[in-house]
Amino acid sequence: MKIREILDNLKKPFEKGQKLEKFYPAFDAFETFLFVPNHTSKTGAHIRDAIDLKRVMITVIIALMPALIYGIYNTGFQYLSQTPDSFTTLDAIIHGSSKVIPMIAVSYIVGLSIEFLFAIWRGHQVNEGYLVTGLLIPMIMPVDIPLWMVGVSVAFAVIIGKEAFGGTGMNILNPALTARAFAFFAYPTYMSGNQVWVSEASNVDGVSGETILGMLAAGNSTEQFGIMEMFIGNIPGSIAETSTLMVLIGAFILIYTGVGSWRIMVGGVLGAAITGMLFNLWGANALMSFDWAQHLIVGGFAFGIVFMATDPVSAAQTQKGKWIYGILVGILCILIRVFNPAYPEGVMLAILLMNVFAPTIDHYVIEASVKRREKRSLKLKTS
Amino acid sequence: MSGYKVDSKGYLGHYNNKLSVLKEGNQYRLFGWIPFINNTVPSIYKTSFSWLFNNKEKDYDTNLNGEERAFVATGEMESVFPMDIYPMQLIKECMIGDIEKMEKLGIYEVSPEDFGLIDYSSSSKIEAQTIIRQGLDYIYKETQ
Repeated sequence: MKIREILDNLKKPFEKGQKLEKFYPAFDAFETFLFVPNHTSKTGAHIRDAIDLKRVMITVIIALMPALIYGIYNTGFQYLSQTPDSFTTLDAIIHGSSKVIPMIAVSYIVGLSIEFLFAIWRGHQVNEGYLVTGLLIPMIMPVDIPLWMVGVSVAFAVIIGKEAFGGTGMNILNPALTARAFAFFAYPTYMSGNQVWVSEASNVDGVSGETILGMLAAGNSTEQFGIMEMFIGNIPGSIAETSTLMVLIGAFILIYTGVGSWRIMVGGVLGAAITGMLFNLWGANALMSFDWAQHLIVGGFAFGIVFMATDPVSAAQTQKGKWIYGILVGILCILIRVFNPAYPEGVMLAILLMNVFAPTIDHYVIEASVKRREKRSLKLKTS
Repeated sequence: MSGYKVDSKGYLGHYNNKLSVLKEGNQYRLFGWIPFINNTVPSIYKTSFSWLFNNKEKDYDTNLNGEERAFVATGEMESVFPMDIYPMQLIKECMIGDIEKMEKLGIYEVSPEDFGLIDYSSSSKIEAQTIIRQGLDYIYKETQ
């Protein structure tokens, strides 16, 4: 095995007591990327599952691929359909790639550099969590956001949102949504309105680049979009959030492999659907009377509930807690959409808010279990 | 699901009643972390096709199949733990050393070996049995 020999030679200066010992975490990240290490079990169960964090994360990335590829296509499609020239699918993909791939590159370069620095500073291994976060961040941004803003948001999310709390596994908020929320409040003109959702919309005259929720909030008609378009995702929006169909494929991969929590996804859809139905009955404004089923397929709801709300670190961690958490995310998402005219899209804020409350939900679920068990043991003692 | 290693020059003690011979897994696997590679390594997740080849011989060895990582609550602990106890929270309390909470969560009802499946399935490669043993030892020491 040639590569192994080269690696073993390269490894020597990084080993204990050698010159580059401090940089071992960085080397270790590359080594474990190439090879599953030869560590064997010393105590406990002597046979271990094939799963590790790398495999979990890469499965999520595979699940994200359909939405990303469709997002790239849709970016190009939305831009080219505003221009008078005819175009092919390939043209759309080329234009989309030229916009989206630099964003992904910036996100990974900035984020991974910070992760490596922290790993070396703290002397622990580089954790794989950022592989997913780094792909999610560009996928939930508007396409025209300048690259430096992506970089600043990523730096904020990784340093303040994650490393300040102790790194992977310790963060309270979902880092990808932290990045988006940061950009949303720091650079609002690039993150909302009717000019940002279609690539280069501000350079083309007469573009109607609003999202459907934005149109409803502004009191405009959304008749030009059919239900099929909303479901397939041929609509303006953040890069990868538009296609419910592609998100469903991702959801299927996550649930089938057992990596994502179906409880949160089903809970979220239930919560949003019931809230949507109730508001349909009320019907006081355009967003309230917007059909509940369409609420589920427009905007970022599907993407958020499948890929963001299910983040195992920031979601509720008990099984009952996951149901409650999911349902509340769904309810809050529709509530924010309907009642808050400033934010036509509510899923980002709904998930961030529930991230904060997830430990509280878990606390009460566990307290309930403790009380139940105490009662049972009292019963056993008395009988 | 639990035990200790005795190498070829070692010996068995009076209380040992079972001996298993396992292949030492101290080899590297190129890109072994990619899903759908090394399908013969068994897993409770369906990230490989190992469930498809159920009648094929499984490739058991003592490799950890990954490196220890920061703990991410991917939820497999609850799904493999048979008792009415929250295993992850109990493990965390054992790490903290909060005896009152450990008692409430049911430390007296478990032995380290109950956490064997958690050891097996952990995606962060947490040594749950060791942590529970330390927790029990801590209680023993404090109540002396």
